[in-house]
Amino acid sequence: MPEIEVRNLSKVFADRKRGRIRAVDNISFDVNRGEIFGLLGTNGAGKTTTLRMLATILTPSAGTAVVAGHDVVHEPAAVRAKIGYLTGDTNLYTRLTPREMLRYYGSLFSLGRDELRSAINQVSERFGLHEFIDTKIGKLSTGQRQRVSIARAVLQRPELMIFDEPTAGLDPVGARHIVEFIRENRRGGQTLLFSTHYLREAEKLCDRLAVMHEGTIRASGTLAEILAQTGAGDIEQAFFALAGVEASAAPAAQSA
Amino acid sequence: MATVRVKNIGAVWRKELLDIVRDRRTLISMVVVPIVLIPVLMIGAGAVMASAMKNLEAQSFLVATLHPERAPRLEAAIEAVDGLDVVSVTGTPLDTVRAQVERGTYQAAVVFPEDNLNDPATQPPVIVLSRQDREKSQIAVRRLDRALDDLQAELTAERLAAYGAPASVAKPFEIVEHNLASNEQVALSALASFLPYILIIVTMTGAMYPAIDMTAGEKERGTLETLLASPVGRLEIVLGKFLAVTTTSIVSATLSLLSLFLVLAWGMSYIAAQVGETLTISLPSGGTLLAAFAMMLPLAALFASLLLTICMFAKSTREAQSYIQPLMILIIIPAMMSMLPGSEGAGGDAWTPVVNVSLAIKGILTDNYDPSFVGQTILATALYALIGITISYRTFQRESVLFRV
Repeated sequence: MPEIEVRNLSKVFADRKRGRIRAVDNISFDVNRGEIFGLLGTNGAGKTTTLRMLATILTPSAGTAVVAGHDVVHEPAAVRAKIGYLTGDTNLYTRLTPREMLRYYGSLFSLGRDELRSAINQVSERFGLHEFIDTKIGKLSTGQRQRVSIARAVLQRPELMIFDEPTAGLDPVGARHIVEFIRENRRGGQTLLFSTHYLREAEKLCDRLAVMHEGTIRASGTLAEILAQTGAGDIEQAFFALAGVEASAAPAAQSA
Repeated sequence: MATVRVKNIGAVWRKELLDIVRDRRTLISMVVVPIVLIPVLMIGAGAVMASAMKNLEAQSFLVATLHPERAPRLEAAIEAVDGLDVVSVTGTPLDTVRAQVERGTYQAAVVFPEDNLNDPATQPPVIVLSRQDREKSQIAVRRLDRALDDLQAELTAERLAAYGAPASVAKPFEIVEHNLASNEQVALSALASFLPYILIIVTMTGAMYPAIDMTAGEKERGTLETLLASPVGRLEIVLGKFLAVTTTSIVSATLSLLSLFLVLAWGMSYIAAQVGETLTISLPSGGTLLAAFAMMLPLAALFASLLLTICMFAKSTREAQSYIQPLMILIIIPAMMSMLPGSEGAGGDAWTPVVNVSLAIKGILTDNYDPSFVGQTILATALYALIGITISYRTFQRESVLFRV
């Protein structure tokens, strides 16, 4: 059974100025256990809305999604207990220290006292938080904050990680932390679903990917399958063919 | 109904309090304003007023007399008054004297009657000109009045004696007033009229910044999304935040209640001493404080739920602040009810939010209250708070509110 099973999922927003907006329009895809799956698309393609529905932050307008064995509409709390969620613009509680922040999230994930202590030690070791774990987050550098952010997302050793544009807005050093972390997880066999608009990132990291545009999935599969479907020579060509735009007209998707 | 785990509410509550206590703005509104600023301002304002009053009382004022030669006894009586410098302006036209009083050259003027006050058959007018919109003129007239009254009594006694009649002919009875309230009680009643107002406002301001920070602030900083993706339920988040805001509000109200009493007990006697009176105010009994506190508890909860709901709509803390301003005005007016002369807690007022608390606290402080009014006030406020928190929860479930762009 796939770790994530999405069937005919849609999300419609009512906007006072623009009327009803179909941010996600009848999409279906699966993410298998131990797989790194990428949602690739330009800004506004519907990636964030999709991931928010899978993380039960938003309620779907139609369709179903089963995440880690639980339905997102009927068992949202059970879904949230199994995922580690991270966004690129995750800001942290700047008046708390990383330890306090980790304790807070640990207690929300129902980690017991000893379990929490050992989990904090473990992520602190893994992401090198020791030297600043008791310094207020407001005083940390962007790179240090990013490490705290990832540590927070994986503190409870989630079965499944959902990262929404984890490298967006990061400098190359910050982005590298994330990329290395994702690579490490591939070796660890954990499941990861992430969204990105960086074509190279998707190419380098994903076992499989789906190309999203204007709320729909235009193609999905391994990179080779997508290239075969589109008859393109590389991911960039494939992407622009699927999005139906000229390369020069789509500045949002970057090949960084 | 969503499941509620006390452990999660506790975790949110603790985290929010820790976060808020480290915010300097909150500390200022929660601690510095109630325990330092308000007492200092009040004592300061009281002391300045007392000292200005003292200065004014110590001053001499210019009083013009027109034709004093017509009634030498009256002239002597006015000249004998302490704090009046009497200047005869005989020869100056009446209109000029009027203009001079209007301009403030003289604080008052006395126009003597043509008659010399010796004829018991007549009642000639003694005209006193003043500007009652000016404090100096008011004091000058008060001093003049005392001298005129004394002279009036003296002349009456003389005339009665001339007719061989006793003093009781002109004054059939003596008025003997006994004020059963102690100085302390009088002072406390003054306190009781404005203390509820201050307490209500402090309860509100103590909740304001935390409410903004925990809703609009959390949105602005981008930490809300991650929190929503954690296993904590939305009702648990709302309740945790609500309890944290209520806590800061109560801490703020308690600190201000204690500091006001402590400082005012000292400050009022200081002010009284400035105007030459002795006054000691002791702290109200534990029961009174407890009753006032029992009132603040549901009020703090009501404010917390209102503020959380309003601030949730805001995208930024600045936007939240502008949303709160109208609420502040809506609360200031009913909070002032206790300051209306003669206002007492009775009947349907117990179900008017804020007004009820204002009047109930006033009643409790002056030991003049209806227990059923106080009971209904607590019940009504708690009920409104419950409605408020239900609305907060509903609001917090709306995606259009949480992800407003």
